Amino acid sequence: MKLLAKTSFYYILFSIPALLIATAIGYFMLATAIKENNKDFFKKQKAQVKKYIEQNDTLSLQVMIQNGEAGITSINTNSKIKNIYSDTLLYDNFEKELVDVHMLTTVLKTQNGNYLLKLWRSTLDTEELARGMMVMLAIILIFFLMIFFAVNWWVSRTLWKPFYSTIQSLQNFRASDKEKPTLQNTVIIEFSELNVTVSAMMDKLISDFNSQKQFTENASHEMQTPLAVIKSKIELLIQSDKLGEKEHDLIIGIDDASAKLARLNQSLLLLTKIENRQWKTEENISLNKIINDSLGQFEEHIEAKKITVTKIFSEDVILCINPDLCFILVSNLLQNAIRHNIHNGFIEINLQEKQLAISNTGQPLPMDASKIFKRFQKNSSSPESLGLGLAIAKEISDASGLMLQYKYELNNHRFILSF
Amino acid sequence: MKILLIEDEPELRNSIRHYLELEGNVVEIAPDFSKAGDKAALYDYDCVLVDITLPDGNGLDIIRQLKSNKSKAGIIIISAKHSLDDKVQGLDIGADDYLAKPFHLSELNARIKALIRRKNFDGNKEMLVNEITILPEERRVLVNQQEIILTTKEFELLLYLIANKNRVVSKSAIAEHLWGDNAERLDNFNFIYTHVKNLRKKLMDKGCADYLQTIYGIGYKFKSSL
Repeated sequence: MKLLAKTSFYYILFSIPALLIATAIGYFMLATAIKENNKDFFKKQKAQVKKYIEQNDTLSLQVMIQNGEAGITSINTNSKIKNIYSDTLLYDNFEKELVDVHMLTTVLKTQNGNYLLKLWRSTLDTEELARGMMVMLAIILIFFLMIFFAVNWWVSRTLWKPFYSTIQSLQNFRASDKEKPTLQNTVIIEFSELNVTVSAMMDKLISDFNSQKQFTENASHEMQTPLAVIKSKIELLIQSDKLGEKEHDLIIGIDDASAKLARLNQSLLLLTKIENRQWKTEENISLNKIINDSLGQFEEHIEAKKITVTKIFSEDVILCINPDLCFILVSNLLQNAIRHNIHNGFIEINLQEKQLAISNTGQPLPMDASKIFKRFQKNSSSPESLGLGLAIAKEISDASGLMLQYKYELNNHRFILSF
Repeated sequence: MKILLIEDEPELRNSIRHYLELEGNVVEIAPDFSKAGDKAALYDYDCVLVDITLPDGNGLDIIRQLKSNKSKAGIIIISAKHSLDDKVQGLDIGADDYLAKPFHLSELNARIKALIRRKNFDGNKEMLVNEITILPEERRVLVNQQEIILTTKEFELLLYLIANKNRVVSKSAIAEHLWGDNAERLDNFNFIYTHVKNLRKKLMDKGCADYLQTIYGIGYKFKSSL
């Protein structure tokens, strides 16, 4: 949920009861005012009636009674009835129906005797007033919400803009980027502080990443010369006639280990180089040819495992890519398909205009499929593997603007390279 | 053959020199850029091996110098800077081959021979080893004037062993030569055995002596004098 949606939600949640309470208070105050007004009205009427009686102005009294404004009854007893206010129904002569009235029943003491006086006033007006008030409040509520949403919309478009732009930059940011993105300038202190912090963090990430990369690169470079020395000394050593079987075994052990170290080193260097985008040459090359050349490298292995290779090639598929890297990419994928294949298994190479799919039979993955392109992820059943082949393939595709995916479908491993 | 070796690492320099001298080559060494520049300017060599990263300069400049002096020497870059661009740049300015460290001495030797063979335009391009005649350009092999049909890998293997004749060539060197130095190398050693076996059989079928020696566990040797 967006922050603005959440704030709006709470605003609405709290504004509804607040408005209801405000309405209730308003209604109560209005009702009190009306009551006061009624009291004043009855007081005036009472005084009027008293005046008419004392002046024996029967005509005016008659008019009042006729108009349905009062009821006057002469009483003898010195009744103790005080002012009684009540709400009741009366038959309205004009409207010909029962109407709600507010009524005052009181005893009027005059020089001409005591009277029971009933005064009333229709409550219809006050009800209408209250209803009108409710309607008004509802309109205010709706209006208020509309303004609120309009303001929020505007706020999110303008005020929060730098915030969203910072998030966008962060999402696109990679530690391997050579330069950090420029964050949008803002006058809002919170956002500008955020930008300063984020910017500093990105600087740190980039420099950490670079120094780590630099270290790998330097270490690998520095290791190549001693490795070359070891390799050359082994070669000179094996020329000797004085070596027995035991010595041979020792030399093989050293040779294997140094060869593995050399390959490891070379792979790490290659990875760094790909990450650094340290090549310039890109040319149009035929993927069909690369695949065929690469397969030629592995003919013995394919034969030894009795693997059936099916090639479904569309016409010459041309890619603009560095040829060396492309060869490494394809041969790593094919090598993987051979290494992890079963005896009498198959490999299907499907080359279409927009994608290359290599499927092979094999045991299910021993690790999580999401880790397949991670470095040093290897299957324990193939100890000679360095666990870098697929990482390199992935790195090359990323660097060359291709997309490499892995799928396990119908018991087959499937690598799809889309271009 | 006269070879100039420009390499700053003393141990590697000694190894290369030692290996190449076994062949009867004259190997002169230059441990740094200035000495290399002097020697390259003063003498003629058949082949120059250049390390690109030198303490006091860039090996590529020596190649440029050789080329501007119209030197006929074959030039092989031996570099720890295993960068694809270095390779491209080096070959662009006139180097004939590029070999990344760490390499096998047998591979270096084979590359030197192949290079000299290619450079030797007017000379005889046939390679003769006792009763074996190899025509590298045509990729043909004759034993006692009879042609034998070899697969690509068998041919490469024979050429490689002959280039390093009378030398033990390790299985890892052969594997790297035949299959390239792919990082995630599959196990090739068993296939080497098969190829050697088939090659030996094809040679001996035409009356060739058994020159291919198996050196227990380590590799093979083409022994030209039995």
